[in-house]
Amino acid sequence: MNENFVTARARGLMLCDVCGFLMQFKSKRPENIHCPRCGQAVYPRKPASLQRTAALVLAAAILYFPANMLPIMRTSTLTYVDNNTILSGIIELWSGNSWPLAIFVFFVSILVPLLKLAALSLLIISTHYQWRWRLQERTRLYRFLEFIGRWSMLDVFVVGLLVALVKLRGLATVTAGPGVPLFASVVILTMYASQAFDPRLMWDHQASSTPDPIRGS
Amino acid sequence: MDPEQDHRDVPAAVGQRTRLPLVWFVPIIAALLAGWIALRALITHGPTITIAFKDAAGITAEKTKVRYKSVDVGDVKSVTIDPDHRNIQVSVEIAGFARPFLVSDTRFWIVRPRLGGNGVSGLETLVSGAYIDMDVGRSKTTKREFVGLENPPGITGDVPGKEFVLSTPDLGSLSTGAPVYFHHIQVGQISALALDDDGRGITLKVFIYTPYDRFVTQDSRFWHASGVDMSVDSSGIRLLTESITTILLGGVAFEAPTTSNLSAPAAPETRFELAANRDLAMKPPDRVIEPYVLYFDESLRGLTVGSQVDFLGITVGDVTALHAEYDHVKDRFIFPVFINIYPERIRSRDPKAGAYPGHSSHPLVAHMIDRGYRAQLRSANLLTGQLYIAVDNFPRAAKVKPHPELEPMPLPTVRGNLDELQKTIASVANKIDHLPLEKIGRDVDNVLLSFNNTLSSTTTDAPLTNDVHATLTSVGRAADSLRVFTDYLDQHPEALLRGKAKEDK
Repeated sequence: MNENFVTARARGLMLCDVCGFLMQFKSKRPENIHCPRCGQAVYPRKPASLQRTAALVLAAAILYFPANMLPIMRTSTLTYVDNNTILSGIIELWSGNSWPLAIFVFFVSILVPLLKLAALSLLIISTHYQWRWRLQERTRLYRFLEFIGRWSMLDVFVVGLLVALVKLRGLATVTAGPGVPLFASVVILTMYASQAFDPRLMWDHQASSTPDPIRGS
Repeated sequence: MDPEQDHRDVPAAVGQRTRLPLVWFVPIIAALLAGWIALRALITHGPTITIAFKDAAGITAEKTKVRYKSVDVGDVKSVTIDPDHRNIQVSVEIAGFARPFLVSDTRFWIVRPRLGGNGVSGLETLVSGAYIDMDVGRSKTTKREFVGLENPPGITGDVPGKEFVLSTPDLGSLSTGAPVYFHHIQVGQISALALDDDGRGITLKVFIYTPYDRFVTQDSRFWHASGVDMSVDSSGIRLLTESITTILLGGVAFEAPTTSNLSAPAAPETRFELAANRDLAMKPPDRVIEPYVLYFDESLRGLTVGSQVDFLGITVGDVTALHAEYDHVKDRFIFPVFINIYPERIRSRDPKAGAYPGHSSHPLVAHMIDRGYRAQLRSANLLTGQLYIAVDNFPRAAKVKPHPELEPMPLPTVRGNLDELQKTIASVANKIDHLPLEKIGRDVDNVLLSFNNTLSSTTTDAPLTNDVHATLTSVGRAADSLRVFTDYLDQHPEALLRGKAKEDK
């Protein structure tokens, strides 16, 4: 990495996220300050970014288990009632020879949330311990997480669609199971977590050799 | 002035208050939520039980439900075959709330369409597929391995009522589920039947629904109401049946005798006898049976097992066995007859003694033997030659020492009056045989001849004829005056009391 990079924060400058106004900050721990032009709260780095991200990741990880164990879809026909969890739905798709769809659902609904949790944990730990290891790859990973996050909601959309469509009164009904809100919260929590993470924190240590007015090194 | 340099000398605020940022409430709430879900799953997740069936027709793993009162209480998880290939083991996961249902007398059976004598059942399973039904027992001991019933039980544990036990030597056409009638109303059904351990009889269990169970009193009589009871008597043909169902299925009826004074409801599991028909059922029960033996030295032709023992016109017992024994000492044949006496049929006048004193009647019998009571063979029907045993008083019979200590106690006998009758008839016949019938015939012939001669010798002008004429005239006059008298009496019947009325009046 080129050691000559200078960050805005190192220069005591920051940008308003809303109106792009460039301003200086004076205190070492700038809190409760706002943009003089548009009034938006401003900060050189997202406040308590790591803590927030960690808390949200933890919450998502806790909810990940019940979300996968509880049924998300309840199919009742005249003859029987069937409760499907995400995994049993995938197994059913697979045994029904719809294996491309099974793989897709498995990837989107099981693997992606899991990967997101793992990747966010890696980012949090690596940033907290100020590793300088593979900063570019880590940043690319973060961008990938942001991009892929929205796809995880696919399952929730599918269930919502089925519940609305399959209403053959008396013959067959599909109702959403208790797993749906849990699964949705896992996805939402991971999205917030990745949003709360400030990737600039990773790079701050890379640039820590240059004088840092905040840390005063 | 450079604003950058302005406050360099002013110390910054020290540190930051270490407090738990609000964001940490998110994982705490998530943890609480997950914990609650796990706890609820633990509570609702019930035990896994196994039910053994002979046949698993219609049972599918992961599909078939276990229901109690049509509410799902469990799912069939797997269907496996026993290692010895005899039974099917159905493993069922029961919901947590149904945990208390799993007691030792809980029963399971498969509901599928069935056609029986009393209708069609389980028709809904044609569409929905078979399911396992259950009946929760009342036991307190828990159980996890059950044996399923092959047929649905007629009575489930939640039906209020009482169960009674009937014993019968003959099942007839009865079967489980057969109705029980009280005054022709169905009040219960046969819930179980089993052969006794000794193989001699059959024990039935009948279930009487509430509120009819209170009509089963301690003195109730049960009888077979199966089929048709037809009898012909002076009033015509009588056809008795409880209902059409009993003709097909058989049934049991019960009633208490009208004379019964035991109106207290019987306790559950009370044992009753099941009589063959109503008449037999209504007979006073013979709960006490005392065997006696009679030694006859005359022919028993006409006496059979079941012949009556009659005490002054009351049937008090019956013959149970007939034998023949040879007495070497006296060189003669003796015929022992074993009888059963039902002492309850003779009631005590002592009100304190009750229907039956409860002890052996041997002392009383010994006393009666002393007073001259003896058993005797008598003819019940001269035409068919049937015999019965009569116990009667023979004051002039030879004294016999009673043996009340023997079992069965011997009753002394006297020779039957049948024998005497036969002897009398024989002697009469003998006398008739010895009558000089031919001589009598000749004598009568001679008498008639001489009479004829006498009549022919009389003539019209003989003095005898005149006398006869005179006599007839006086008789004619007497008849005239008698007529006058009766005519007068006819007109004046009071003359008999008051005398003849005066003419001038």
